[in-house]
Amino acid sequence: MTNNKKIIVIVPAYNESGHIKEVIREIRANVPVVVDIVIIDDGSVDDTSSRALAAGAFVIQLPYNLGIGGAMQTGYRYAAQQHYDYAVRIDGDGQHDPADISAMLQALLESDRDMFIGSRFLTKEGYQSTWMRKIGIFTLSKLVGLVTGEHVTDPTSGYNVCNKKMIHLFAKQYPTDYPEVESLIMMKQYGCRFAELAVKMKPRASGKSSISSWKSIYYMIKVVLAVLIMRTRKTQKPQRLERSF
Amino acid sequence: MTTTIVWLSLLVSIIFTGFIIHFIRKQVLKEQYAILWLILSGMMIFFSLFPVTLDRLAMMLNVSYAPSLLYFLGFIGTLCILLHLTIAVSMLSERTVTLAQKLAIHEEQLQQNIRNSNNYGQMEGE
Repeated sequence: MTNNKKIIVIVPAYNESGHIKEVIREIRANVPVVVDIVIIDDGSVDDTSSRALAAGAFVIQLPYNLGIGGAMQTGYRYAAQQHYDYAVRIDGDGQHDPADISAMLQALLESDRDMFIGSRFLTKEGYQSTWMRKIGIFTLSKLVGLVTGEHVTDPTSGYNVCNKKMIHLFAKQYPTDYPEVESLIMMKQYGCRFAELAVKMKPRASGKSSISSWKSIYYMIKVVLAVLIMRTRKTQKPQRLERSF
Repeated sequence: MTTTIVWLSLLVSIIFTGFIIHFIRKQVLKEQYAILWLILSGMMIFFSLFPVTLDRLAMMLNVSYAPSLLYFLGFIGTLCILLHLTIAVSMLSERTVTLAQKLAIHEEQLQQNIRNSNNYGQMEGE
């Protein structure tokens, strides 16, 4: 399917020692091609890293917690440096089903899009999240639709696959706090295209969500602000980013 | 409240807000730090546009000269921003220390690896 293309599976994890081994095992079991699995240990205080190493994955340990944005960018920087062609993001908490990776990669290879996002609301199967989160996600979905002109059902989904162009873009610039939503706007600005694919997600099996209710409100404000301001910037060319990774 | 000071406050608040948004757009200012600034300047704009609210508040708090309440609130807002910045600097300092320590340890481990491979090479050559 992929003819000698290098694929990296980036798994951001924060205190996921309860589930990380299974996630790695399931990725291996479900992906028919050779992939490199890299766990980004975002300053975990438990033994997530040693368990991941024991499961045979490669681990990048961040010296302290950077949050999902910083952790993912670490993965993209590594992917860019190591010349990977495609990058898969799948979260280390077990909410994303590795069985969908093949379908997403297939869709990406066969289309002209730069990224495919696994949306849990496209066909409304599987875990649909709490009602409070759904309201927030719906609001963001409408906001992204307004700003980019694209119809997005799950703008906060962290389950995605992207190509080399996106890897290099994200390696140089990636939003910090709520990267999923802001990166969609960023992609639009840099002329990159994305599409969604229906996936089924599971509720969190172990560990705690890093987003409390207060943080959710803060994130909404911050994301709305960032999106509105980003919208006022003109379309950018990817070459305009001068910093190297 | 006299009209001159109201217009002046409004003008300054709007210009200041404009600068903040400009810096966010240019990505010189990060949104998480900008939120407090925007709240402060938004508050200044609000009170400049609706001085009646300020007068009422001043009466409730027994402040005889309403604009001084505006400056007091602006001052408190600035203090909050300074505190927020100080906290951010504290966190950055701690992170810098951690990075320096980890870097130093990694450097030593790297040098050890180089030394070991050199020694091994020398042994092989003998």
